[in-house]
Amino acid sequence: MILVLILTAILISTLGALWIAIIPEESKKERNLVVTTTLVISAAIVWGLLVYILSTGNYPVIEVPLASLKWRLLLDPLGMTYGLIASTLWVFAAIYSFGYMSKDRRQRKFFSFFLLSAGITLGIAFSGNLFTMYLFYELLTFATYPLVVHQGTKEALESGTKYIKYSLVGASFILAALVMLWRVTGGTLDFGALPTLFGVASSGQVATIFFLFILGFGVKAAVMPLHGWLPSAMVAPTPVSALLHAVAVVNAGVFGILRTVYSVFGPSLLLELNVRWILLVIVSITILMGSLIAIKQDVLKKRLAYSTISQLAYILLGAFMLHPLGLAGAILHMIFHSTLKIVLFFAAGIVAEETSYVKVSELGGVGKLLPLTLGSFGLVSLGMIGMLPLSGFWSKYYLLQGSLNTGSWPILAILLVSGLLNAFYFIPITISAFTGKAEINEVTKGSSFVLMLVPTLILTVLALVFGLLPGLTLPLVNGVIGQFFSL
Amino acid sequence: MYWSLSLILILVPFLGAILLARTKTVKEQAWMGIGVSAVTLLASIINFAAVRNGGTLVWSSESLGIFYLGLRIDFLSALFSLFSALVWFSTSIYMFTYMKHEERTLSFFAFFLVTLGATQGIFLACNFVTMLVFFEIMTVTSFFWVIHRQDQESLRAGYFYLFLGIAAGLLIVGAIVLLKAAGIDLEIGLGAIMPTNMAFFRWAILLLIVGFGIKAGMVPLHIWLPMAHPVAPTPGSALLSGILIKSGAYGLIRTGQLINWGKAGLVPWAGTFVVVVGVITMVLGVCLALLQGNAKRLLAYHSVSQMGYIIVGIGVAIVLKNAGVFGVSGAIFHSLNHALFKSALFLGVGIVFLGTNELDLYKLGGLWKKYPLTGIMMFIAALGITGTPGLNGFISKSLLHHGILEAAQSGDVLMVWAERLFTLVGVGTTASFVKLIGLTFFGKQKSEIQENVGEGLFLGLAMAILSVVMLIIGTKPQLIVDLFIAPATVSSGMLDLGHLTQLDFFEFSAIRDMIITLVAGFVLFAVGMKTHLFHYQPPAWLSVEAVGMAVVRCYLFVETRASNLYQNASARITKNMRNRYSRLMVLNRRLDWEGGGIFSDINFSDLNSNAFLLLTVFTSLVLYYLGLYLWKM
Repeated sequence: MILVLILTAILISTLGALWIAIIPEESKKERNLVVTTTLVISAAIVWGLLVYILSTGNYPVIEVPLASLKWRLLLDPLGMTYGLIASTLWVFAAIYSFGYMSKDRRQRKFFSFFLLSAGITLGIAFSGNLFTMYLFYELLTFATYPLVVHQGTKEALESGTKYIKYSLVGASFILAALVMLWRVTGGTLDFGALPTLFGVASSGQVATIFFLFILGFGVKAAVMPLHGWLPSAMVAPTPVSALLHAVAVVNAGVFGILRTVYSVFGPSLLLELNVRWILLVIVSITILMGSLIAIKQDVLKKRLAYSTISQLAYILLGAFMLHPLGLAGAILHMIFHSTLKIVLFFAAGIVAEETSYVKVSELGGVGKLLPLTLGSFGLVSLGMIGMLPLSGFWSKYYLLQGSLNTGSWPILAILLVSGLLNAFYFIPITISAFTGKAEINEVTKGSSFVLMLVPTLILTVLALVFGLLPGLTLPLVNGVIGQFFSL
Repeated sequence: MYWSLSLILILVPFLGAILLARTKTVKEQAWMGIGVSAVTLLASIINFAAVRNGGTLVWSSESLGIFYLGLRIDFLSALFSLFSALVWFSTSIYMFTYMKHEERTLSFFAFFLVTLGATQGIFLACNFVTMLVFFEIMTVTSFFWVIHRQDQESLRAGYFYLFLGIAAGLLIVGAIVLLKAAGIDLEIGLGAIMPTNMAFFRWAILLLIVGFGIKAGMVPLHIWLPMAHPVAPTPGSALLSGILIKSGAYGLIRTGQLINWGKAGLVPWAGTFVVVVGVITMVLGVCLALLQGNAKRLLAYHSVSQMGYIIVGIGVAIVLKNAGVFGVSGAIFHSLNHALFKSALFLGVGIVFLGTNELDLYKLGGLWKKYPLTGIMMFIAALGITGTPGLNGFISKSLLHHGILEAAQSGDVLMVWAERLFTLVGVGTTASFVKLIGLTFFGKQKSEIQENVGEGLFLGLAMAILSVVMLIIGTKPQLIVDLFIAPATVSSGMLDLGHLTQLDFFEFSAIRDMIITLVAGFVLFAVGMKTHLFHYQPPAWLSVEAVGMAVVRCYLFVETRASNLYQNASARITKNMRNRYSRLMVLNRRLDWEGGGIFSDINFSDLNSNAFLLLTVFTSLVLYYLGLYLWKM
């Protein structure tokens, strides 16, 4: 039963994508129906499975031998976290896309790749060994490429090429690391209760493998200096930027690193290797530099992209602390950053769609035309700064706790300074939107506007709910921590 | 049952703000404001009575493991909640007339009510996280008062206000995390029992002091205050100066309680540090106030100076440990008094501004004929702030003076100087209020007065409420001390009341000292006006803003250099790579006998899908064999 459910969750989107690819461009209703149903079903299955594994405590596994390798799917709290974020936010992004893409001529192509990516993302989340994960990870690059270059302009194509180049180079590092790991462990690549490398002698080889993995996954996680593709990939249509470049793709990189650190190597081995400090320094630089560069960006989506780079580094910071509290912070930040950042992208997309303004300096007075949109943007950006009562505070709180408990107090200072920097680049956007004078006096708000606004508002409310009731996430977070740390 | 009252204090204002959306006219909005403030005031009075009868009230939501929202009302919370509700109420009456002359009234009223709820929440919160929730809400919503005019000046002030407010919030976040890591409960109203990590605990206390200090206008982080308070519409200024900065004072008092008022010596430097910063705040505030020509800015600098008094009181209490009762009670009492007279002064200046459209003191004058009632009530408030016997300021200043004298008796040089400067600041305060009242209401009338905009019923009533309360406090100090201040002092953790309840406020020496101060103040005013001392402009490089600008300039300098370097380097690398690549391609083409083989198809500038599939396979294979090869070595 579980097996069928897992496969359904992954495959239903792929089948839906095929269906959409077959039906003609004009049958919009049918297409939207297919997209919504498949996404809702897979999200519902993921939620159901989450409840199942958290209540029973056993993590189902599916294995299919494949020569000396094997396909392996695994349901564990860490994977579920990523799967949950992706599948749930995909539903919102789909509804948003119905509005955003309503005037587009190539919706068939767009939505088929959109659905395909959803299935592949779940595949990454439920992968049970590095081999399976690597395959899905590569597939994600190819499935999302058409979405990035969807507009077909010269700029879009160039950005797409950049995206592919970065991703492939990154993936080749992962492959190399995979091969080496395979040799070291004698053929075991499985994630399980114990890290893959548990008990294998630590050596320079192990460190080499580790850094190759970090380099590889670091590309998608946009760790500086491997971040170059992310800001240019913002030429994609907004729902794509929102979902792929704030939620699915970048989180795939982050998730890969979390898997490497916790499921492959394990905290105790890494502590022995003593690689923590160099990693913490790299991500701390990314946090600060991302924010500092974001301040200078005038194109709203690019500013958001650099903010994403900075915020993803928060998650990695928590992961590299190798401490339960740090991991809790990382998991919470993965959840909360996704839900917050997607709202910011949604709002930016609504503004661009309704007023054709894409630069921060043009936004003066737009808030009076689109009060709810910019209101959500303002509120959520406060959450990104880490202000209460929004959810962003709680992940930061755990990251700070973790940094103190690992004895690295400078990280406390860096996180607080970065919070202030976030304020510097987020707050002027909202303020100028509500105080300046707009050149246009009216926007026509059609049905597509409602479709875009509703998911934005729901997710904003969600940010407030999590801010006041952070304990709702506790079972999941406890599950992940319990998986890797014996408390 | 009683806990529901404390919820009313927070929820009714929030609800009122939502209901405002249904109102149509300014009048309806104003009635809504008055109604909600009245309910809040009533609830806070009942709350205080309930605390008097039944002791500390606690309410908390279900805990979901990480934290819970909760309220805890002891005498200190109830007192702060009570006087802020009172000032809010009278301001709401004032707004009935005032807001007819403002634009965008709906948003102002909405933020007026939300901020009321948030401020009440700060005072009633049961743990630091709940406090922080309301603290952040208050920062953001009151920010909209500051930028209400939406012109260049108010936006600039607003940014300063908001960014420093956020910085304060972040510092408190840091403190919360440090406290938690040091094994301290985050409950408000308890002293810390032995922390497990002393360094963390001390850093936490420093962050708390600076964080709340920003809100309290502590030098050198006071810069937002004189910018933000004058540009807000008058009701906003009155509340910012009257109540909102008291949230900082309240936080500092609770911080003092957290370190047990220095009893266990947990943070040995805390007392001296707070006293020194407080004295600097007090002196600098009054000096800068003397130099101001703008009435509202003068009042704002006085807020800095008066907050200095409160901070000194808190610091003295920490220095004196068990005997610090006068410091704490003085700080609490002065918070209450300052809320009353400073908001009354702002409201008065606002009435004058409505009629004359002028805030520059040197262009006003002779207004007592047109504004007799405003004049009298502002005079009462000015008497209050200068500490004239018979009014409220005298009482709290006496308490603070008692405290500081006791500290000075230990012979510590810092404390002795603190006491001397304390007296000197009184002189400066008197001089600048002689200036404010004198230049506004006496002399020749210099400015045009608009018709029909005089002292309306509502404007007068708002000020009268505050004046009456000030007079009651001034003439019946012992009653107020017994009823409010002494229990609040106990609630703040200072259990030994000493002879606070038997103190004779009107003893000869105190009155004599105060009168000497007043006379000296008059003399200073006369000298200052003659010598044009009050027009002195301190050089720009001395200001904190200049320091901030210098830091920003340094950063930009470094940043430009660094990014140039980076761009040059990356451009060179890219160019080199491109050259190498094309040479490789040329070489390949020469080697490829057939010509036009796969190498001529692969081109990164126009990558098609076939090419990238080929490339993946190629790269993967190369790396695979490379990996195997390396392994054998």
